[in-house]
Amino acid sequence: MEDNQLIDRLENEYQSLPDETDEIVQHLIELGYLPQLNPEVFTDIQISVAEEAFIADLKQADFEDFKRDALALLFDRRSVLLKYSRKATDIDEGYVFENLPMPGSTGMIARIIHYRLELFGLWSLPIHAPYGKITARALKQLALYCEMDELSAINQTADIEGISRMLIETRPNEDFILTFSSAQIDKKYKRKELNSFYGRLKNDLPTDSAFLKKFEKNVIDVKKRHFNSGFLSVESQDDFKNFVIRLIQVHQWQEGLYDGNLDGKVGDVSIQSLRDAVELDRENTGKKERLKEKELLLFVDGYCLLNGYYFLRKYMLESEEGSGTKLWEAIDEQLSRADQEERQTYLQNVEEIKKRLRAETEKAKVVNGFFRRIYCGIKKVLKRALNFVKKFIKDLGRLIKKAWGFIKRVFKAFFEDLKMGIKAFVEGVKFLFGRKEIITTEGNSFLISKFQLDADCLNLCQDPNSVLVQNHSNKTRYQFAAMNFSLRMVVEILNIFIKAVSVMLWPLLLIQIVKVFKRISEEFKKLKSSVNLTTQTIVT
Amino acid sequence: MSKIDDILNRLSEGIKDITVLNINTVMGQLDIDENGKITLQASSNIDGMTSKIDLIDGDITTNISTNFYEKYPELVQFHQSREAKGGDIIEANMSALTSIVGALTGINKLLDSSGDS
Repeated sequence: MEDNQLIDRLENEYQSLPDETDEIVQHLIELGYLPQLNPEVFTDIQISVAEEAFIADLKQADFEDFKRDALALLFDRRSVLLKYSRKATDIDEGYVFENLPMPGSTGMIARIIHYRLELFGLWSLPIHAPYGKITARALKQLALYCEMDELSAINQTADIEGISRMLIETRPNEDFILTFSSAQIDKKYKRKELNSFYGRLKNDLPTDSAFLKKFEKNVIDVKKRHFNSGFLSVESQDDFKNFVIRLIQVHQWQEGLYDGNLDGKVGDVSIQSLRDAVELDRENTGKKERLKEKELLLFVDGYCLLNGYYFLRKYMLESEEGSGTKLWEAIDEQLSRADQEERQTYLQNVEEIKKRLRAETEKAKVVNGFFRRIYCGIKKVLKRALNFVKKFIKDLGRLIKKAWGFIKRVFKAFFEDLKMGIKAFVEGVKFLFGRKEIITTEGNSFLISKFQLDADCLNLCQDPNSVLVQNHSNKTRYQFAAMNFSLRMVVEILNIFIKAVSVMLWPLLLIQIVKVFKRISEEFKKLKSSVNLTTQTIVT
Repeated sequence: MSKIDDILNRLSEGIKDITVLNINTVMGQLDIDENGKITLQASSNIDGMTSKIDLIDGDITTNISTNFYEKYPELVQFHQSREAKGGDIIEANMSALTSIVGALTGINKLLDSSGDS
């Protein structure tokens, strides 16, 4: 590969990466800063006002990570907004709180609490409503389900895998055998399917389980399909079980398997998402350990029974091993072992994903009065992907067709990291090519600093004042931290280039850029925490 | 000239003298030309502070105008913070640059040996 190609191609790669979705607006709606309307109707001014209110609340909430990043608002406002609006709505590794808000509060913590309660079907008022008695009542309900105090319960919702694990470990197994009715449910069933479901039930529940006895009496032992629908009806109205149904729906939504409304109602879309989970599990596990649909779902007399214990334990908890951050390293390792043909196929498949992502307008929208949103946390999805990373090289094409919702989540994360890695590289190269200028203005006041590689510095001022100097000083400090990051990226990427002497190695190169970007980011995070960089909140 | 040679040349130009650190803070009316280049108006009154730090023998020479010293303590402080950071920045940049030059030279050698350039 010619050297001109090395840098030009990277620039072209950056241009070809999928556009960012209008994710910030979705989160602002989710957190009640914008009304639940179709995102396209908002004017730039409405969005800007909502963003300002969101930032003001973030500052007031005093989150440690935001305090460290507050200066970045001066340079890359969009990235900061994206990062913290995503974090505020994250239920994989979301915020945990030391205290509950004061009554009447409408700040960030109150909104996050309402947002999470709403996700789990426990909140129906506006998200921006003041924290008050109704919040306290909903939290009490959540605390009752979780069998802990209100603060611990809401903190549990910051990690959906954790709350699922905790519930499975503390509640009786039969609390997870779920029943729901739906006009869309096919009433036909086969005796063989009934036996499979029953067999799994006997395996999962103790022999003296009250549910098991009722199930045997009202479903298994009846003649000529004269099921006791009274039993099924009572079961379908159990509050805790409806909470678990919602929990499973949220799990499915997180993985890109469910794109229906988050309403706790189970219809065709929910059932299909469970079938898709079975399909995905097939890719994920050995033959013996696979989740089986006939053991999971049973359709009887207009009702559907779901063995939520088996599903949550087998699919959501047991299969998740290792750390999601290792995913890119694992793909890199697989790619380095692959032959040229496999690499070429992988590259073509990634290009296909890129094209589809670019073509797809993945935006939150209001459908039939319901706000359909897209989950944007990635921890869980990357962790699951790690389990069948080998198939990403050989079978990615097939996976795109069979599990597009899941695959697009994984590669969206990949493209985001790639974009940021290349951006940091370009910043570093800009610095190498010429003087770096930092400009701060305020009315007719200017302060400009020009820096050279050998640290010479020229500061030019016009009518300076103390606020301008302070802002400029903060900017300069932040810029130097960012510059060091960019130079590190330049070093690492150039070293990778040395190995990338043929076009065939391009997929290897891209994945390694993502890998080094993640590694250097982690190092800088640690550095930031250890030196406790002074930060100030700057209003620009 | 290839992009890599271009970067190498610019790097060597950018680090002509790493033994002397020059920090200049000057104040006056600014002009912006058609290329976006910002300069001080020649006719304006110029105040300011300059520092020249010899990193080998440790000599520091600072010149500062009285008006600047009295009226703009924040700018004096900012200037001083740049002085204090200068050594660290040189160290960090040089470390990164050594690696960058090494990598770029490696690419050039590789391309020469493959006859690809």
